[in-house]
Amino acid sequence: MDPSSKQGKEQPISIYQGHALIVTTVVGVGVLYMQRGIAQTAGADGIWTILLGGLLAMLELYILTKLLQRFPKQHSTVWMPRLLGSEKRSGVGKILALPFFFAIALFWISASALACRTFGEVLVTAIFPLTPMSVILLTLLVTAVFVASTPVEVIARFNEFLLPVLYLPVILIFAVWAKEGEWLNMLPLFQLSWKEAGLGILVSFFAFSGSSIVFAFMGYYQQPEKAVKAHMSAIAVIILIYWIVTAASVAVFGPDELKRLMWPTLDLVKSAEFPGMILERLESGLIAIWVVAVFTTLVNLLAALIDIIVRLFRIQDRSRKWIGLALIPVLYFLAIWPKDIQDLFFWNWIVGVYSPLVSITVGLILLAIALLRRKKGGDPHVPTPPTS
Amino acid sequence: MRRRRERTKEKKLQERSQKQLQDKVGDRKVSADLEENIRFISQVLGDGADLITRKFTIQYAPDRQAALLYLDGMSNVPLLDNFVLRPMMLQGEQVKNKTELWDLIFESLLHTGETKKQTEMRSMVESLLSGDAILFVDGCTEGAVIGAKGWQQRGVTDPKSESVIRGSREGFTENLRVNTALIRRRLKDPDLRMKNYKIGVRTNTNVSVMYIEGVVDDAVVKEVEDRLKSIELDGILESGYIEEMIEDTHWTPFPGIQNTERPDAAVANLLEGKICILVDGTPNVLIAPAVFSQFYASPEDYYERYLIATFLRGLRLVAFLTALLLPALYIAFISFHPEMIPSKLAIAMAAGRASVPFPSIVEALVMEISVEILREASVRLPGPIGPTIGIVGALVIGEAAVSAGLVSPLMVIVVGMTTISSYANPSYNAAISVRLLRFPFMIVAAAFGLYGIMMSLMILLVHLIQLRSFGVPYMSPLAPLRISDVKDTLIRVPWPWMKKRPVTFRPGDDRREGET
Repeated sequence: MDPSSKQGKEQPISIYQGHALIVTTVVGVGVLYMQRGIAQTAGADGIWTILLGGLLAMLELYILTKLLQRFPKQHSTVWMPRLLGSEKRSGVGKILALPFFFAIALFWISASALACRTFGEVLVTAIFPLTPMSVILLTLLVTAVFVASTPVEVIARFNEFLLPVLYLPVILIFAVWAKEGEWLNMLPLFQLSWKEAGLGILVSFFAFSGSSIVFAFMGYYQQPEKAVKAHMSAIAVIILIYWIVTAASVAVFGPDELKRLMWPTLDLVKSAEFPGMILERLESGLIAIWVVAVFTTLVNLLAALIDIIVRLFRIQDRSRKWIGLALIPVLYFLAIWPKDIQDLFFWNWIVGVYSPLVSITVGLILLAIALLRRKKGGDPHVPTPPTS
Repeated sequence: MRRRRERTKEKKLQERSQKQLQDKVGDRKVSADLEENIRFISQVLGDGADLITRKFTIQYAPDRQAALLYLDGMSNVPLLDNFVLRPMMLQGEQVKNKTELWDLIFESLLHTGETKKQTEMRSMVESLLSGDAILFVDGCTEGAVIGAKGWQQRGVTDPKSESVIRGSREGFTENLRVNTALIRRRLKDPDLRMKNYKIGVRTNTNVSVMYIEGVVDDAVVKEVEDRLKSIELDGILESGYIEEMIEDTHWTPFPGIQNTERPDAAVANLLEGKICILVDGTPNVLIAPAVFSQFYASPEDYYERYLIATFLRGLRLVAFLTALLLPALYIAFISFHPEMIPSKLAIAMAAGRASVPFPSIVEALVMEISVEILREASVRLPGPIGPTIGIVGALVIGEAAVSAGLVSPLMVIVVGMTTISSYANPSYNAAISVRLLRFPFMIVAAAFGLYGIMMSLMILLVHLIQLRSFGVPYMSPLAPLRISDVKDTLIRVPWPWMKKRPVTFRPGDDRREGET
């Protein structure tokens, strides 16, 4: 007998781990450039459109959480076919659920491939001007797949452990803001027309993509009834991080210069100079720490993808790594697809729009069906979580 | 599934080896004929040169001879002479009442405490081999086992590998009984349980499992016992054998079971709900389950003031990271990120490296490997020469290498810091795993710089998180985070605030105070 089986009866993901999963997934490579897009649409007003965009992201995640809370401790691949299909023929529900899974998984796979490529571009620009992109992509992908094909509980603990590391650069950026920031750069505020403001809020909203991983992970929560609080606080933390980064960039560079910077966050750190600093320039250090943020995003998206595939096709838990290996060529192909950095930003933009679109649509449709058919969870057939 | 299959296989093996022992001794009973018994014992031991056979007559019944057998050097000879042989040879004639000789021996002629009647020849041989004396009397189909174990042994001395400034100076010894007594003396709790096993088909090593009933998680006890029972090996010479036979996975450089030489550390762990495994013949006691805290926690943390202990733990963690990463960071900075080094230092470094003909990875590897050789050699060198050679080697060779232009001066500092940092680790077997991991990090740093180091750290981290020791996650209480346990991890809070035992080890009784 394995003593972990005593624990195995429980669901593996604690409520704090759920919080960490959301934060680490949403905060990714986007923080290195998202303030440029905001400055382009909203100018100095970006510092408040980001807050409203964050509220929209909260709403998105709230819909998803409410939907998933109706089916506590059930995996999406279990309740969704049951919700959509009839009692007698389970196959129908499964076929009807497939498009939904496909829509969500499409985001996961494209977002992870693009995050990989974007970070690869950052590395090539800042550290490795001579290294071929394929080498960087492959190292990143292989490592991410290695981590992502571990059991779900390991993924959750991994995120939980790394969450504080994400706060380090934010503190650094805050310090740069305090030292180099010009308050005048942030003025004048409220210069936008209603249309521009709306666009600015939407653009800010698109920076918050990735919360759809709850479709894969919320079925493993120990206390799904507390998920709303954990998820809302996670989005609040992300809003705070984004706000500090955006406001610091606007304050240091001013909106007009900010529009022309390719990686504003890196330039922000480059300008950091403090008395008693051991290291001369910090951007390589920031990139090294930012590996953690990008890597957790990548790992969580891939883990969600692998988990859904494993559960949907009833594959043994042991073969997670084979599925991960099989995904590497697909991911590599998708990552190498954009032909240059312009093209890459275009695709990033498309995926950024696609993410909230798909999760709000899927969330609302399923919630409506659940309300109409009065279906709720509370089924005793709890999915057995994978044990290591 | 695979595990179960292995178990049944092991069981079969065990049965077979027991049969081998049976073939030799069989289920033979003690014979009524004294000569036959003696002949049989000496035949089983192959006419062992250390077997002492003393034949004598008990005056009460002069027609029946008796024989005392023991192994020279294993038994307490004065005890046997004074309290076994003397009364039987001299006092027999004073006895007046008419009882059977065999009963009389037990009633009044054997003056020792630990005495047992036995009929099975096999258990008689086992007792003889573990140092007891055995007694046969002509005409009796029973023998006696007289507890007279006593051999030369090392006394209780300072624990060599875990010395502290404040705290007990006693360390475990090679004798299992002394060790259990050292624990028992510090923990006078009737709930302290001790279970004995004989492991090793040929060495028949005594192994004791100790835990506090009610404090420990019963599932872990059962798991430890099951794994101990499944051990199938001919010899157990050190607790390291047991450690590798029962650990969760072999595919890791990190120790899945902690060990200690200090009785106070063992007791502290017992009180946290862990299990101690004591092995006869070694002063290293195993503690299971083990978690990552062994890399930065020392028993002394609990004896010194809590603020200082917290500071020291932080320091040891920094030392852990230094020992793991410093050479890799040096390589990464030199080869990929020279812009991060402050410009004045960068100029000095460039001047230092100007005469070095190798890339930094070769420089670092050569220096690290030579320091590892020096360390290994200074362990083998006798007594007082050891540390001298270490210092001479490091200083003289380092200095000469710099002036010969083989390595840069900064490299010598890096190597020195790394080596010293790895000694700051309170647990030796945890420290050597870091020594090993340093090299892959250096190679990755040479290929991918800081980015490569971070990626390797991610892999290392997920490996650590995935590890389990007897069902307990290795990185707990940090991942999974248990807020109530954090007060004894990177920080140590004062004792009055630690009223609960760590929940990481799922104790049966979690309160430290007010126990019933």
